[in-house]
Amino acid sequence: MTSKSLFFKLMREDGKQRLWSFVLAMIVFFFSLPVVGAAQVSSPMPEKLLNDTVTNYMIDISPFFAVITFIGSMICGISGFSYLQSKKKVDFYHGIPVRREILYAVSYLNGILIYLVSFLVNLCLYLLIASGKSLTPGLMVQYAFSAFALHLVNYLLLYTVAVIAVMLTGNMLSATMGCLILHFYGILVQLLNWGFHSYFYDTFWTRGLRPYFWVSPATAYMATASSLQYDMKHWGFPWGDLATVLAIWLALTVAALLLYRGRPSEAAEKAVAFPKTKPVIYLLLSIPVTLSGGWMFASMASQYSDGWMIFGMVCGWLLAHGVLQIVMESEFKAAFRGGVKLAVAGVTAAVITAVFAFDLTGFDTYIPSESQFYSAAVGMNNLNENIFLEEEGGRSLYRVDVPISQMAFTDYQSLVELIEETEGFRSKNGRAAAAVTEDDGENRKHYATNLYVKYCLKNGNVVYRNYWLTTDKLDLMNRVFTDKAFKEGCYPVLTRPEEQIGNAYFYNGMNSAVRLDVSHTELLRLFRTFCEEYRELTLYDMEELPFGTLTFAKEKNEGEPGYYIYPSMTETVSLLAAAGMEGRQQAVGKDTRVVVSAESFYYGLVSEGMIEEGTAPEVTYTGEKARQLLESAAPSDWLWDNQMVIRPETAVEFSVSVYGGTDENGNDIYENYSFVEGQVPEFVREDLNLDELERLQQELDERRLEEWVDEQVMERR
Amino acid sequence: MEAKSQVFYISDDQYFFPSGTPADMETYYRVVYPQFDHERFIKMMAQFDLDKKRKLRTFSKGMKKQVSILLGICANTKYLFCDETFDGLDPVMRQAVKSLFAQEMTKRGMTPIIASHNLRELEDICDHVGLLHKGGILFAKDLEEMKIYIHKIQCVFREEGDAERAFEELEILQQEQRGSLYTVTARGTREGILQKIQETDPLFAEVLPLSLEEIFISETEVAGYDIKKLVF
Repeated sequence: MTSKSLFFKLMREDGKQRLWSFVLAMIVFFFSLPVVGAAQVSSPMPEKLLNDTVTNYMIDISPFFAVITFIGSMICGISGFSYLQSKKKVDFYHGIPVRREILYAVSYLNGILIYLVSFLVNLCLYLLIASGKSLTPGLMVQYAFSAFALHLVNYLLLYTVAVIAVMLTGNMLSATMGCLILHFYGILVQLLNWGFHSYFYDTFWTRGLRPYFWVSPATAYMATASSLQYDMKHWGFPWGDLATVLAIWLALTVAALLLYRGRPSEAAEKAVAFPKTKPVIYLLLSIPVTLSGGWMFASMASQYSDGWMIFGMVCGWLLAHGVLQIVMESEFKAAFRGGVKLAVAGVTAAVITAVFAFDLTGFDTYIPSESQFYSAAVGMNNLNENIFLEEEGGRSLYRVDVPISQMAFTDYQSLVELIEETEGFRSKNGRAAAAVTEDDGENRKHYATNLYVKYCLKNGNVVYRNYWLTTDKLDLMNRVFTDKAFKEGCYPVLTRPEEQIGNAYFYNGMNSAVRLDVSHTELLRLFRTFCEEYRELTLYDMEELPFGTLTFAKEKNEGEPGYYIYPSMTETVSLLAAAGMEGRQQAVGKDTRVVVSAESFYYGLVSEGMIEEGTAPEVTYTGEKARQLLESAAPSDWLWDNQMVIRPETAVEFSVSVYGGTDENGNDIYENYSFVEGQVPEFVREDLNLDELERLQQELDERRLEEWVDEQVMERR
Repeated sequence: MEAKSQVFYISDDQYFFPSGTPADMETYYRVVYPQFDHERFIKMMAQFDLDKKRKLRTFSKGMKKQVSILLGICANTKYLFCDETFDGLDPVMRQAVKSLFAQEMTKRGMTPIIASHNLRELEDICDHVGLLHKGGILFAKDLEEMKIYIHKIQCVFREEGDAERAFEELEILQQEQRGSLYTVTARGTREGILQKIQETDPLFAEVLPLSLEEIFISETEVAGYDIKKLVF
């Protein structure tokens, strides 16, 4: 018999023994593909929707197939080589006159064919069924086979990882655990690293340590499958990623074969096939579990707690040792042995924790030297949250992502002076404070805010940090804010070419945004004036309520943010006024009414029985009173977007609704407003009887405090 | 692989395919042993009254052993490695298997290599015996040759010092004394040992038959594997 015919005969015989897995795969793919296809084509969906459904099915449902593929790879990989886990089977297979490499190849290839054949057959059936309903059958086939290629290549990788797990272990439990560990170890260690950075370092910014899904075969695959639909429609098929997966697969296939050849037959029914790897595996698992235990318990505690961290680490350390010893030695009493390994793991975990706890790497005090510094991107939290940017390819950036991705700030000295003021938080109590409010003696509250910094170094490295500082450092923040590079990074409109300016829209906080009816020349003049005044804008200017928002667009008013126009931008305000634009106070007309209530405050007291149930007081203002009120109130977003410099009133939850006319269907047009903190007009307070409500609230708070104290005393007794 | 193709291994606890039948196992073996004799297998299965279509997991231990042996014989390999093959077989079946082995050895020169703890069984069928001890071969010899060069003698001496003189030049493997009766196991030819003893003019000296088991125990005692260390 030629070796070729022997090979195929062996494949046939092996296939008979693995018939169950083939049938299982066929059933799963049958119900996922042709049955779904039949259900789709028989549904009463409109033609276009049905076309989209069947054409995009394989890329839409890619994550589902990724899960099936992952589970299938584990089943085929572990079951296909399960004979290595039984002494009887090893005696049988290694006793027959067939080269071990051929046995390996037979099992390995059959494991691939099970998946390939069952998927492909059912996919073809699906395409046959669905092709009649697709208006673009060519595209449907392209999407289907692209998705198939993605899943098949990743199956090869995941399957080989499962085979490697079997080679390294000797029983089903260890093989399954080993497979899961090989798949997820990288990502879990990254998450642990992230967790420790987050727990110990005050200046840690998650962006600097984003978990890379690519370190784990399973999560990398899941990430690719999840984004397949988007990628196919915007970027095309991810051929590069697939080529990388194929290359890794080839390398792992060689590794698996080498392990198979070196694997002793006596490893059957033992937990670990290569005894010398035991201490290595032990340490690689025990140390992260120890650290995870600490992080988990410390995170569950309501405050940062070193005690809980230590407790968690000790629990994790001992439990990891016990479980690993029991699994590796297949004996319960082994949990009480292995003192040396236990000690090494414990010391290593303690050292790692100490590095973080005492910041031995200087993470929190890091500032690059001027010689290393190339540029920085600085994002201030609670500032300019209205600004967004739509990039090419459809990706949108919001909030601090805008300056972080656009800015190249180079004033090193100003930046360092600002950063150095933030370090005080760490030295204060070892932990960054939550929102700190301090009265500076001038009845002005200060708040904490975040400063996100991306340092770009000359060597190409990028370092991310997140600092806390309070707004009493506004001077230093303003110096950075008024820098040209900072402004251009924060406000993309400042670098837009004039050719892209086709229209401008103004919104005064009432009714809808209005398109400016001006000539192109006037429009450009407005744009240049706006840009000039925006470059001169300071944080102190932003402490006033905006006059309105101005949006510059090429054509329609979409896809561009509205920029706040401040009273200090006098030239811009004049040009807007000349174009017939007026602020909200000027826009108060005969139809304008402002309705104010402190409903939740009121009903809170009703529920406590402090006041009798009834309708919450509500006051409506029109005319002059409305204009006065609107001096210290604006659309809520206008305040929430720039809380760093101007804050909404939150001590009392006012509901302020400004009604201004009706739409074409006769519905009221209104906008929700907020008062500026501490600037609620006196007449509003009187009309809502707010003093009395606040007095009652204080009484309630005092009563609650007494009750709580009494409870504590009773418990202690 | 060429060497391995001449060997068929019958394990103590033979593996069969889950839900497999003797026919399924035969099909597999025919793939890996091209010289497998299909007709003979069918015939022998019938002779042993074993159903080739019945699931092997329903077979008794003895029946499974029989199937293993038949598969091994019909594979037509030169060597048949058997591990505790007779364990689980009744006396009639044991004889039948021994006859089969003898037939194969005569007909086509098959060589069964049998590992067993039951030395009485081996005595009947084996020409050459090796003793395994602690993973190595303690010694390997022809059975008859082994019996030629180790003997058990019972003797009674006239004088007290005669025993010492008689055994002085003999390679004693084991010695036991009950009153005046000495029982020794010694290495050497029968004539040589008797001559040495006769030189002291004993009252009585007789050679006793030595079983393979006794030879095993004697030889392993020399190597330090001693029952006295196990029993106290």
